[in-house]
Amino acid sequence: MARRTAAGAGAPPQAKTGEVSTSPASILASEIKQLAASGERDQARERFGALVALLQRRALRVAFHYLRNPADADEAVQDAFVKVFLHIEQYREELPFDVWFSRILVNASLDRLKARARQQRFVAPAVDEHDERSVDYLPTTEPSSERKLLGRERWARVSREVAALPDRQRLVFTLSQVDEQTPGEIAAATGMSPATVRVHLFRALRRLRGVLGEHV
Amino acid sequence: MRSREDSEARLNEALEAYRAAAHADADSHFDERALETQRARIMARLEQAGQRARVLPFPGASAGVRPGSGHSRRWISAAAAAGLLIGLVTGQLLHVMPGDNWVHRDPVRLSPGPASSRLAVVPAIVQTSFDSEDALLDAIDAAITQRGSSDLRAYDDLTFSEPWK
Repeated sequence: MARRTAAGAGAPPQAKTGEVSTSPASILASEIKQLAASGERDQARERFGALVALLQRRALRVAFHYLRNPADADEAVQDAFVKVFLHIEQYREELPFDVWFSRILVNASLDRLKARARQQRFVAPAVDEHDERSVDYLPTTEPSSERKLLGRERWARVSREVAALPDRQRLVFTLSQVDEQTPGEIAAATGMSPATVRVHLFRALRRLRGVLGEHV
Repeated sequence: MRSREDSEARLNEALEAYRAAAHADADSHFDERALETQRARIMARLEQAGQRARVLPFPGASAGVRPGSGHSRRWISAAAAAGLLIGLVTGQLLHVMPGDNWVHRDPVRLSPGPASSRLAVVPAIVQTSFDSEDALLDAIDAAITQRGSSDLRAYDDLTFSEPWK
């Protein structure tokens, strides 16, 4: 995907009427759909493995950024792929597969969040000494080289601010900045209108300006 | 105008750095091996989803006649109903029988100790039913004629009268 500006302006995801989306994922998905429709379930499953390999990394980045927990992200991505395969016959080829998949991934991530909220109702969350927020929301591994580049302190502050965003702002920010989707794609994936997506993105960026760089 | 463009450029730069850091952070949790494991799990789940649900047979031992079922259960119900009926009939007969103004009483316990301790003794009388005050007086009369006056000392203690003085 091409890099986009902070405003993230871009064309809506729908292909023109009658056209078939031509992204590699869309082509593979069409093939799998045809195999499944013709009853060749085993072959469809084999081809689906290639689709998983194509989208897996990207899906994990989005899910992890949104859920801030590796196990939850893993589960959400698994659930999303299983749902995609089980409902592949509902995929409409005139739409980009990536958008349809994003929608399913977002729903799977929201389901994980709800499940976690239900669990935490019965378990007292671990609390950071310096911050009242749950430790789950803080990165837990050794700093990566990129994080070192951004600066450990600054990364921690930005991460906390992103985690503290309201749910919809965080979702829009994640899809826009981590997955580099356009407002049109985000609107199609989340069910919001493109105008609402822009408003949420604007508010998220305004809130994050301070921690992204004092001079910005 | 120029400063606004500069500001936007700096914001884009900061977001680029954030994106790279976010990707690296996620990738540090999911190396190639983790991706392979996840792919294998997804394919296993899909394989299971394709299979028809297996119906486990009900254990043979418990498929037989359970205790308290069928024939014996009917007998238990009949016995319970008969017991209830007999109880009701017996109760009715007891009310119909003559001499129904009964006073069920325990033997009056007389206190052998001093007067102060006698005051604490209360006769254990259980009065079931009296149709009128007359019936109560009749019962007392009968008690006086059948028993010695000492038997009624406890009554006296309760009524504050002094009939023996």
